[in-house]
Amino acid sequence: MTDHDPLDDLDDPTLAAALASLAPPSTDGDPYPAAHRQFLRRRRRHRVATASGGVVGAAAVVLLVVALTGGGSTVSGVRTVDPAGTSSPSRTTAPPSTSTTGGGPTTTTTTTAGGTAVPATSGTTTSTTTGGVSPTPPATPRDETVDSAGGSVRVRIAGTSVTLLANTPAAGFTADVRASGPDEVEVRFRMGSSGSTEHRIRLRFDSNGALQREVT
Amino acid sequence: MLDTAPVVATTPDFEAVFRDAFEPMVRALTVASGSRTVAEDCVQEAFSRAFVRWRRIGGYDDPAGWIRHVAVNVMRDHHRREQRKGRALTRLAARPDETTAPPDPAGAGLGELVAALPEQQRIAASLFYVEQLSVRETAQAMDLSEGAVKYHLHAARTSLRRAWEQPS
Repeated sequence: MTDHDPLDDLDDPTLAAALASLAPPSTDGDPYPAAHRQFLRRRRRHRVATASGGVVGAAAVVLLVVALTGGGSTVSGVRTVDPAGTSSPSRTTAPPSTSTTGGGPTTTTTTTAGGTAVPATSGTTTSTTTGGVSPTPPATPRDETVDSAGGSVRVRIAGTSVTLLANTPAAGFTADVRASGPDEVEVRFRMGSSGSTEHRIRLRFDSNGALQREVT
Repeated sequence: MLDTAPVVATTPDFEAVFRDAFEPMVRALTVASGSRTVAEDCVQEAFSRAFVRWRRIGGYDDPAGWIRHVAVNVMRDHHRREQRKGRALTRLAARPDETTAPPDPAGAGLGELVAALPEQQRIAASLFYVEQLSVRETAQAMDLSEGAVKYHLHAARTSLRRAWEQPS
């Protein structure tokens, strides 16, 4: 004996014919030509939308990459780097200015708009120019020796700075370096422990930018 | 990705599927939706979606089945929108919801009886009895199991038979 599942008893030609009569076949003729025109329009819109989406997506990717890499930035400034490399570099957008640092050795680099770092003069005082102004090319340094009866000094002159390189006391004299640059170099040579005899060499730039040499 | 297949190469297959399946689908969905205009719009929309992706859809084992499935879903979406609109209008008018009131079986026509069926029963009966699909094809079109389709068909047939044969 087999079980009869009433759910399998679905065939009903009478009901099928009655339902089909609710939707008689169309007598409007071939529907394909009109439909095909709509299909073509639809595909054209689909292509335009797809292409537009691709362009927008590519632009978004490019913008994202530019934003992440920081490329093309117009920010320029001065980055001060600790020689030991322990401090994190900081970027400022200060206007063009002359910065002076005192004390310990500091390396100052000027970052140009193109992103290249140009090391500036080492020492305690550096001049940096940022923005659209080109930095002044450093003058060619020259060395000079100044003699006195108590000894001689050798200095390096670059632009409007003068730096003591060496001093050579004469026999019986001792050297007392009062200033080693870059604004001024002053060395005093003294004879004996009392210092009764003293000769002085002093070099500095006056207000007109001329190097003044004083030997006494 | 763009569907760059030339129209000439794809149209014959697509056109053959269209000519074979369009009218039966429209007739089935006409019974299910109660409107030939709605049915034509739904089937046309489904064929349009298939057309722009025909290089992929045309490679399916049963492209017409995919199109039918889309058409049924489009019709369901259409009915949901209409129902929401009807409920909103009912609330605005502050009157009883007449759209959901079942018709009186006595004296009602077969079309009204079909319209009174639950949506799943209505669609299943339309695809099975009007488009003459198998239970399996009906299940694929409705995204249901074959057992669920049999249940809906049995319930629809019982309801329609009872109301239809009821002496007025």
